[in-house]
Amino acid sequence: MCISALGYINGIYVTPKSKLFYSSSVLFSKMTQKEHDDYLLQSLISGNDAGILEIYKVIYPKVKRYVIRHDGTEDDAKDVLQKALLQLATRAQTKTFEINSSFEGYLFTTCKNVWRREVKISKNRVTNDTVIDLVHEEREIALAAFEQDQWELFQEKLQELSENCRKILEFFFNKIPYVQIAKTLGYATENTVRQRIFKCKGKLKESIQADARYNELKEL
Amino acid sequence: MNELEKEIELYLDGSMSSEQRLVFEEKMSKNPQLQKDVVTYTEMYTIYNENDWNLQNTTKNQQITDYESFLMSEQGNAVAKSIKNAEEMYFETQSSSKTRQWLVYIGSIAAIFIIGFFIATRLNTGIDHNALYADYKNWENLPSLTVRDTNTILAEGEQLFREQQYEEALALFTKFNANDTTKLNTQVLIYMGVTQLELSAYNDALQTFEELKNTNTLDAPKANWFIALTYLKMNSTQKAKDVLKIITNDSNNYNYKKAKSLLRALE
Repeated sequence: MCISALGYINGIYVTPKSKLFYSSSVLFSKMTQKEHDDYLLQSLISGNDAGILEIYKVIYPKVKRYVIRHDGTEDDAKDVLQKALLQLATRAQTKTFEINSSFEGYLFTTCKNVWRREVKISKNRVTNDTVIDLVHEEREIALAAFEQDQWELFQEKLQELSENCRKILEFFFNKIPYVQIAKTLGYATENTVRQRIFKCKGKLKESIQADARYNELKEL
Repeated sequence: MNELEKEIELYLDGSMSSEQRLVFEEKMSKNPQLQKDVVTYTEMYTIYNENDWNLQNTTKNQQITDYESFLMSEQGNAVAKSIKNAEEMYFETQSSSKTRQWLVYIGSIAAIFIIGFFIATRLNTGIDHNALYADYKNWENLPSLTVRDTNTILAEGEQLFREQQYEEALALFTKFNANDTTKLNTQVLIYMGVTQLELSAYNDALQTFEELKNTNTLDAPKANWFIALTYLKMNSTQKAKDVLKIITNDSNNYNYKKAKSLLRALE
């Protein structure tokens, strides 16, 4: 009468879902994750339709879910993925480029950033009276790629801070009130939080400015 | 130096009077390092804000020019074309399976009714903990670990978790947690506990959720919900009910409504 917990869940809930998930990668089941990732990236760089289709199968449903959850439409999601892929191919072509996480995770982060960019641009259109120049598509992608370089450099620098500094700054930059930061991270007063942020922020600024890549990004 | 840094903060906060602003801007025009600092800070305020994005307004940069010329090149055009082709192929296969999807959809509705009927009849004879557990767990709604963090271990762990490769995921979460001396990443604790729960390592799961509960964080109050789910999966109806009652004591508690309906189902 009693069905084992695992068996029941396996039978009804787990199996259909995992089948769905793996259907796209059955062909690649003999590849290691790393080899599969390399295959996907190489397909993108070399313009291999079949490989890029594989990327779509893996990532599009996630991108769609994300964009829709952040006030976009399905068409926006298509647009985001197209731009992210083109941007990624461009960045991978023109310089020594390496992905240290999984390809899927990396591409998904890029997509999220592309969507944040789109939102910011449309906000600017609404609030600014000045007419924003319509830029041709290639320049638009080139700018986005450049901004992504900058974003990654800044993230890297943030990761290099002590855990303590990083946490408090993440709260600060996301506009969490001092009171709440003090409560969450266990600081005695708002003032200690303020001092700590002041110090960490200065340290981070210095480490960013000391990085040669930062100055390269600034070069005209 | 420190004084200047404080002024920068006031300037960027917008808490200077217009007079002070003018004085500061005057100072800035004479001090290139100050100017550079203000630029870097402005970028930091934008880039590190998860709801913002730092748009570039210059195109006079070699890197941008390089990117653009690649995109304009024959090779760039070929890649763009391949992406469009792949997209078309992807959505074609999607729409050709629409009829099939429709059938699956109809089928699912029927299945829901059948399962519902099944649960309802079983409820009369006794509680089906496993079905309730499956109904209430909703792991797909757990916040992503990769939003805040670019940490690759976490990204990988989450990925494995979503693929239901729990053993492998747990190894990564445990590794992360061991290195994370401040134990401030409570999201990881949630993922870790849930993974242990999925692996039916109940004692470990309970221990992890207790640990979560004892952190002084915004996530701490969520622990009770996960503890209740653990007892539910363990078939410990009474213990599950006890914890659920704690949650339903206050409508501000995490998952108050869910706790209420689950409690009703158990009673």
